[in-house]
Amino acid sequence: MKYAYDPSYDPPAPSIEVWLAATERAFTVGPLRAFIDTGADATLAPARFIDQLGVDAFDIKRLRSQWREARFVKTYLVDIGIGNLRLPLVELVGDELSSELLLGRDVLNALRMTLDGPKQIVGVRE
Amino acid sequence: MLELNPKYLEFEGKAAFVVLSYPEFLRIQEQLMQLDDTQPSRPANDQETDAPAVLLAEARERYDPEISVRQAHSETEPLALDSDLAGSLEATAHQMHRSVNELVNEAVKQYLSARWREQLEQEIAAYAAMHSELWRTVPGVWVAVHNRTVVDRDSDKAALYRRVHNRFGKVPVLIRRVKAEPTEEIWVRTPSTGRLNP
Repeated sequence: MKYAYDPSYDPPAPSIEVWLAATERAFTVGPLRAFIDTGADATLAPARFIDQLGVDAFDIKRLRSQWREARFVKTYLVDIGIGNLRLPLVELVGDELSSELLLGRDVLNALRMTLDGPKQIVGVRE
Repeated sequence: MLELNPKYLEFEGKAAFVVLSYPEFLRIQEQLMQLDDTQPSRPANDQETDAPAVLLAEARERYDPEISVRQAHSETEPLALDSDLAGSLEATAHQMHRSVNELVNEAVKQYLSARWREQLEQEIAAYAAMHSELWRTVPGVWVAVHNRTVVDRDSDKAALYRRVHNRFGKVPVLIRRVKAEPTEEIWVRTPSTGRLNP
């Protein structure tokens, strides 16, 4: 699967399309553009998308930035779909503030991915 | 036989979607659930026509007391609002140009979400209190904490999740992998993604 870089970022950012589902249910939310963020331990999604799935909070954890700011966030257990791949039981952070979906290393480390910067294309091997 | 009044929506000249009223949908859902309940037992019934019968409630008690407890709790009583509460609700709905049903659903959803969080926080506090013992005895293992007690554990997260979900249903159960620190932190090292219109 190939995805063009997202030009709504400056410079354009590697991103792919994902779907979200409650665990072991059909994918109902998507396709959503997800920013590939190797600096994030986990995957973050705007709370409104999680609300649409109707899932309950799975855990409450502390989210920290590189400047050590911290706040508590709710996490949710969901399945993530990328092309024909289904990644089950991903612990997604509910983001009350941002409208961006960030794909963290919990998901990225399960994928074989190539970044072609000059052509601005992300490849994901199924 | 159900009486239905379906409306058909076409796509490219062919019927593609069916629209039903909500009560009709509920009746279908109810019948499907009844069908689902009876079907798996049919082959077994055919083989054991002379076997002594056991009441369903008795079987539940015998094989899974937690199911019967959940069942007892799930027998719902009719919903009724106090008259002064109903009056205030109608006035608020009118003021906000929204329906009473919308407000009730929103309020109940908020209450349940807050209650869920409260219970989850209790399980997290219990996990923190038990952490040093868990780290000593089962490091790296996934554990499930419910009512401040470790109720199950497994090295496979998915297997544990399914078992816990089947056993307890829709109640807060904390599932965590036992790591060196009792409090888990998630780091996001990207201060800004550089989106042009965030």
